Amino acid sequence: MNHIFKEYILPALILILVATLIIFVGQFAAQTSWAAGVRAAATNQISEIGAGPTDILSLLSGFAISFIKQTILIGLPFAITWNILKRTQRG
Amino acid sequence: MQNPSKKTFNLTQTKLIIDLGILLLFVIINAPQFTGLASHEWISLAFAIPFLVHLTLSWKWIVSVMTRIFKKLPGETRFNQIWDTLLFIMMTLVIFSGTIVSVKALPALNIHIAIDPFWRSIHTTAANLLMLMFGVHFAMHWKWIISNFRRYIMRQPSAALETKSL
Repeated sequence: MNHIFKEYILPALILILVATLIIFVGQFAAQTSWAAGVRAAATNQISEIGAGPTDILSLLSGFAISFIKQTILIGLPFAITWNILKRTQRG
Repeated sequence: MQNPSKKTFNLTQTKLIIDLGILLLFVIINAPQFTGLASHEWISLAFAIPFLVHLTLSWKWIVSVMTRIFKKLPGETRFNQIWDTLLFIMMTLVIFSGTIVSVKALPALNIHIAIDPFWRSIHTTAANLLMLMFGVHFAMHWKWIISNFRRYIMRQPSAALETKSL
């Protein structure tokens, strides 16, 4: 029983506690003057996500935007990390 | 009686399939311009299930590394420990902010929350950061993915097994 508590229940409770803490910190940050500035800037911004592609052109452009964005944001850090790992492991 | 080697085999294979599913879902979720807002929100809600399964299947590793937080660890393990913690924090932030700015999924479930533009901005920024962090996380486990993909999906025998059969 003690083993189940130590290896499963306690770590799960810690994870839930950390997640709750992040949400509380976020809610606290939302009340600050910095958040007011972010809110004011975001209010005037038009959302880049729409209802979805309605024709072949918007489908292709949506695919192209997502592809380029993910190549840069996921592919680039992946390639850099993989190269660093290869070099360090070889050494 | 259950064969222990068969049990290990199934666990690794299940982990691999779940992880490949997570990768596919992650790519789809992060393409809202392609899928549209409603699909983005519903798939994101569904993403919680494989994500929790991923955590559960990696539970032993998480617990063993977290209990050695102040002890000496190999460099790569220490990096994974810190990076995965940051990834968890970022994932929590993205899930929370995404849920409270939902305009399609939550109202469809009869949950109505006033949208705060602050959280919308946080969601976009955190999601972009999460993609960057995911790229690094993916690279850190690339060797494991490739070797198990060859073994369980392409059914190629591993180097260890080949040596043994010789």
